[in-house]
Amino acid sequence: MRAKEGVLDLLNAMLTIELTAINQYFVQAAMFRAWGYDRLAEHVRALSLDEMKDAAELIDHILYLEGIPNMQRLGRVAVGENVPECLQLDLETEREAVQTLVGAITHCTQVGDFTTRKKFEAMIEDEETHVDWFETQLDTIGQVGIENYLAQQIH
Amino acid sequence: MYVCLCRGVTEAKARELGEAGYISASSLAAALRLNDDDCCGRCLREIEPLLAIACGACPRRPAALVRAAAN
Ligand SMILES: [Fe+2]
Ligand SMILES: [Fe+2]
Repeated sequence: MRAKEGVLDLLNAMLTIELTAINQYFVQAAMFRAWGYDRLAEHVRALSLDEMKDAAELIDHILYLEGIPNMQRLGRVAVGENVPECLQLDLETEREAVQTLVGAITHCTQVGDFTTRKKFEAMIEDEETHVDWFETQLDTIGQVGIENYLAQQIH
Repeated sequence: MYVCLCRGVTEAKARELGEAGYISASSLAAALRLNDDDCCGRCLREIEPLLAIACGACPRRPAALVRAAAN
């Protein structure tokens, strides 16, 4: 099926965000494990796999619309030097994903591509739970202090 | 945070170079080897924040100029 105007670009833009997030979370999870925070590492690793499923779905849909999935382009992989820095950068990554999806959904409505819109809508729901999770971690750190937070991540 | 993952450059490193007087994009890029093949190219394109950090740390740099460089 041929894609409507601008839809492939948006799918590829979202793919770039997912591919970047996969790498970002994967390396952070490994860093957290190396620092001894296994519990946090597990969660962030699971997020990386979540984003991989999103990427797979985007790739399939781009091919379905007779486009080429751009696996070459990657955003800036944002890595902090400590846990709160990483979590803050991840929150920004997720907010960017939500922002991009909002624009993509609006565009799909305008050009009348409801199949792609539905896929983006499913994704935005996931990404919002990711935003919420990172916000919660940072809020918790604010409340109990970084030492107490990290003590809970050693399991 | 890491401002360049290819070279493992941290903000602290940028500050250190700023203190040593590396306060131009080209001298910073050369000192960190951001312009050779092993670096992805993105780090060089996004050198502005790195430059702002270096300028902020340079003792010979008046505050007004630092602000100008950051803008
Ligand atoms: Fe995602
Ligand atoms: Fe996400």
